[in-house]
Amino acid sequence: MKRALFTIITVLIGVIVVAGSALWLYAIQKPSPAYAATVVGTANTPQGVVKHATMTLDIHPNSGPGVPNPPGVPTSEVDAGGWPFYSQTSLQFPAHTLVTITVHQYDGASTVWNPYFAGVHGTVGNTAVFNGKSASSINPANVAHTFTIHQFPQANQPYFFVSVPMLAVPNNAKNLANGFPAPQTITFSFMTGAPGKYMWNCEDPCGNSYQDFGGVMSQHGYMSGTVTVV
Amino acid sequence: MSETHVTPEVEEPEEPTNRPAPTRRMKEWFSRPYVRPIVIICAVITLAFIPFAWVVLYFMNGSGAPASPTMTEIEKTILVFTIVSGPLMAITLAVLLYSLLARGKGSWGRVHGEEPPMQDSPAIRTNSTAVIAWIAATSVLAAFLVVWGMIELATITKDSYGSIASVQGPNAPKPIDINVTGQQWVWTFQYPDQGNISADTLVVPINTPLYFNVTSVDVVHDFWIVELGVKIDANPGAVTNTGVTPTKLGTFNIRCAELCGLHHAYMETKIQVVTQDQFNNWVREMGGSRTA
Repeated sequence: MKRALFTIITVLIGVIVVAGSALWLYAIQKPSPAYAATVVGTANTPQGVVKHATMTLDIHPNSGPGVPNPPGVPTSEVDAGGWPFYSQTSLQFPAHTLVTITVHQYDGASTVWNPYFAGVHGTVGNTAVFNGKSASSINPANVAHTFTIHQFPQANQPYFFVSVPMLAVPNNAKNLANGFPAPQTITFSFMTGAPGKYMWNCEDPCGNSYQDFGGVMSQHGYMSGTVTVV
Repeated sequence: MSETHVTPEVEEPEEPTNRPAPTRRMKEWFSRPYVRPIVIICAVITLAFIPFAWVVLYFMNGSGAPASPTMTEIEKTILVFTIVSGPLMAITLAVLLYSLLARGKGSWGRVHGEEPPMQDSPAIRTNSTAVIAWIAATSVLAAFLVVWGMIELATITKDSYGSIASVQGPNAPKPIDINVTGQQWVWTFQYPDQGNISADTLVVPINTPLYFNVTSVDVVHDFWIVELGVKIDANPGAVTNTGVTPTKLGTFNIRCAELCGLHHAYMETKIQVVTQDQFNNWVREMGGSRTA
């Protein structure tokens, strides 16, 4: 009986250690605070009159003077070599709303491995406005990043997929007085459905290491984040 | 002065003579104090384990019942293998539990490590009955699993068009080619026979063979259509092939089954199995052309 008791206690200690470690790791996660789209009025859509919300994002080629740190990344952890990042990564949209996002993109081009992501998908009319011109795709060689929202493994939430290529700043672009080149401005709109949780990330490899999928492409806080529809 | 080594004579145990009849030996064996409890525990665990096979299937089908002959065959194999493994697991657990728990007095507690061993008969150097029974039982079991596995493998290979020639008979429907590309952390699909249209979800007609050309643009992924029983690696720089014929209308899950980085857990999308007319309409809406 004593041996059985010892066995049970040993198993229990193992379970407590494993579960405790998991809970501790979960507790120390510090996602950046949610950045919510601002409701600015209503819009006429094929679904009827719905709320209209807007949001502005920036894509920086790296941190430095005049450029904030990536969201949730302390200065001590910012890569000295300069990693590109979105200005906000924890995004929040209202449900059943037309959301318009404007992105100011400051980074240069990198290789998009899959031409599918040079196209615009999931937006109103499957188009986006690149510096004032509407298009359904751009030259794959001119893609700097993508903004791609896709599924989160959570049951009973509507499927949600949006992907927009971010037009690159040309290599020969001259810096303005503020020390930065004029950004590319990309605007796109999409409809949100019922509340749910999704994720977004860049699908244009812009990191380092193998096939440029290391660095920012494999860490939180730079080129990926969450989308919460509330 | 030379030493003389004398090898002492070892007294060989006497061979048992006048061995009792096998039935009597079996009876004696069964009357040993540890045999009966172990057999009882083994039987109880086996009986309790058999329903567990259906519990496994219940959880496997948590996201939906099989939607293709391939998945039906896979589930059948899992069911049979789980049931067959029941007695093996039971005998292991029975010996373990008996050894762990039989410490007290009474019929279950006669094997005491702290007490002197019981008087035993001369060592048995072999027991041909036990050897033959053990070899026969394990051989039959292994042969059953091998034969079953090979038959199922052949069936699944045929169902999944491991050889494309198997679906090129005169009356066989032409499979729809679909190029599947995995990348961190999304799937994209291209339909070369339908005007090269592309999509992030898979839309396919029911009862039509599908032939997948699977690749990756970054790391190794694994293309897994859960309810259709399709699972194949997506390797960068190479194309792997498999196929399936969906036989059930509905929306099913596509996931990545190869740990592929930070957001591997979110690399999923949907497959919609629709009627042929709905598929044709979808192809038109996507700007493609129906060629098959």
